[in-house]
Amino acid sequence: MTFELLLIDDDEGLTELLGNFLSNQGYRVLAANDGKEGVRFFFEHNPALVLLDVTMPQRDGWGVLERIREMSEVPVIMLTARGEEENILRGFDLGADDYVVKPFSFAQLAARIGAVLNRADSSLANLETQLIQGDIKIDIPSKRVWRDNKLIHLTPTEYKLLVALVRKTGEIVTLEELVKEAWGEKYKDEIGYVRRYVWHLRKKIEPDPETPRYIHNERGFGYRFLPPEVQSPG
Amino acid sequence: MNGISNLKRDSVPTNYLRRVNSIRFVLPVLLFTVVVVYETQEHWIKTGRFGFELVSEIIFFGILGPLAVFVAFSYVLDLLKTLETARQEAENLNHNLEFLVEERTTALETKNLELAKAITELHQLDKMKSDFVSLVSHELRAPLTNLNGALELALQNLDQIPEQTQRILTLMSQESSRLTLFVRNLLDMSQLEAGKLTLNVGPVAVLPLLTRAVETVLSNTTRPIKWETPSDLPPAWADEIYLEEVIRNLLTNADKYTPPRSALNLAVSINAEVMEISITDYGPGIPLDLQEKVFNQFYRQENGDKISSRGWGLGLFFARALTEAQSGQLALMSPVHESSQFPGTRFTISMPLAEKETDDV
Repeated sequence: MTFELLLIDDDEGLTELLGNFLSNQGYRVLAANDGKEGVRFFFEHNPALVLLDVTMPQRDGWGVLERIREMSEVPVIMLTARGEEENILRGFDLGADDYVVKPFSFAQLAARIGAVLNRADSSLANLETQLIQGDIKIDIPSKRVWRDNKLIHLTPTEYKLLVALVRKTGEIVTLEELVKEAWGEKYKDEIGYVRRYVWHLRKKIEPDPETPRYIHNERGFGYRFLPPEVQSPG
Repeated sequence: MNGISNLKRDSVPTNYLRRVNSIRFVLPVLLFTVVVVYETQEHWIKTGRFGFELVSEIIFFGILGPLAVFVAFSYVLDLLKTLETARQEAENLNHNLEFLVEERTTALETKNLELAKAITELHQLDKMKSDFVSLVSHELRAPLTNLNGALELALQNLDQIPEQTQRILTLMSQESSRLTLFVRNLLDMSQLEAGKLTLNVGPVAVLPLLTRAVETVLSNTTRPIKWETPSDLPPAWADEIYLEEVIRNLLTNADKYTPPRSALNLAVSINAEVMEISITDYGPGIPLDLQEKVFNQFYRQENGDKISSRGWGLGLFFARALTEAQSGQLALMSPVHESSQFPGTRFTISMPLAEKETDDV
């Protein structure tokens, strides 16, 4: 099946080159050079995914995204400027699925497109892209974590520790296993203080780190992740 | 205000002196007159005799007495004059001092104003520089995306391209990646200066990070690397991505500015709740007068003819700024070894340790 992608960016050089690159990857690419044209193409062609630049004359990326979201749940990847954290958060709030930062590599963008399309197409859902346990949601391709729909800033190590725990929800994960997952086999004797890493992870994840809801210490064994709803009442 | 009150005070003692001076003459004359009238009455009119008694009393009481009064008053006047001169001198001195203070205060105020103006101008210039850097790097991003993308596209089917073109394209791709990295650093730098760089701090295991940085930067070198890293290190408190960037930056410098086969020592230690990560080379060292300059923005080492030195001189400035943004410090020491040809340089990153866990529930 050939997916049709809509690329909306006012930079004609980019639409041509990226269009070429993605065509070579087996996608059909439609390109629009301003927001208005982009919205028109969207309604005419109903693409499988939209690549949307934020900064455009006439109607900017946010306006286009809002217009698209009024009608459709199509996956949207934003093309943003570097380091503008507030833009990224705004994008997620408005319903963007992912973002890449300029200057990005085409290959990296192609990988994101593949991941987002896989996630959107339930027939391909055997490929793991999201972990959801209770109100904790982990998005694997973008390495982002939400609790109660609020984005939580984890460091790469904290993210790996959390994923290792969530993947084995309900089971005990030993300290050795956590080291292996977060740093790799070769550091199994080098990393100490695992409890300190987990303690800091809890401070970011738990609403009340003193009485943890998610990450439970199984003394002498390791840690166990439990989503709130399966915990014994009281 | 002070000048006016001084003038008023001046006139009072001068009048007083003039009065004392008049009394000095008037009083003896008055005394002489009274004595002459009295003695004439007593010794001439009453007795009808003009003789020795009258003359002697007039000389004694009428001339010598007033003369003594005159001399006494003259002496007092002289004393008063000396006092007045001293007072005036003191007053003048005081006045001069006040004038001097006033003059200096005005000069200081002018200097302060000039300084404040200069500071404002400097701030404006600095902001202009940051805005310029930010603008340039923003404007460079779009063409760089396209340039990188075009090269990616061209390099997709390498086997269909003639060998020479392949080499040219690969070289272009490398240069374009270098430029991209530089623009990223510039942007991070301007964000850091504007206080907008978002750091993601947490506990960091330094050993895997150091190993990864060495594998990335020094993968093509044959230089011996000596590790002095104790196992079971507690985590540092830092931003993993940016700490690794600082370390990579220092390793790149060490690789660039030292002889190709010279050794590198990597050491990690804990001193008073601070983690010290040091990278020591066996290169030509950094002279004392350049040791602070190398941390300046856009500083470039000038002996580029001896050792290859590509880069834009943002490295150490950015490395220090990034380290400090994470509450750490970056320092250098040179010479490190006894050799005069290769005294070497040691860069030390000091980072705080991650807070200890309290009761682990």
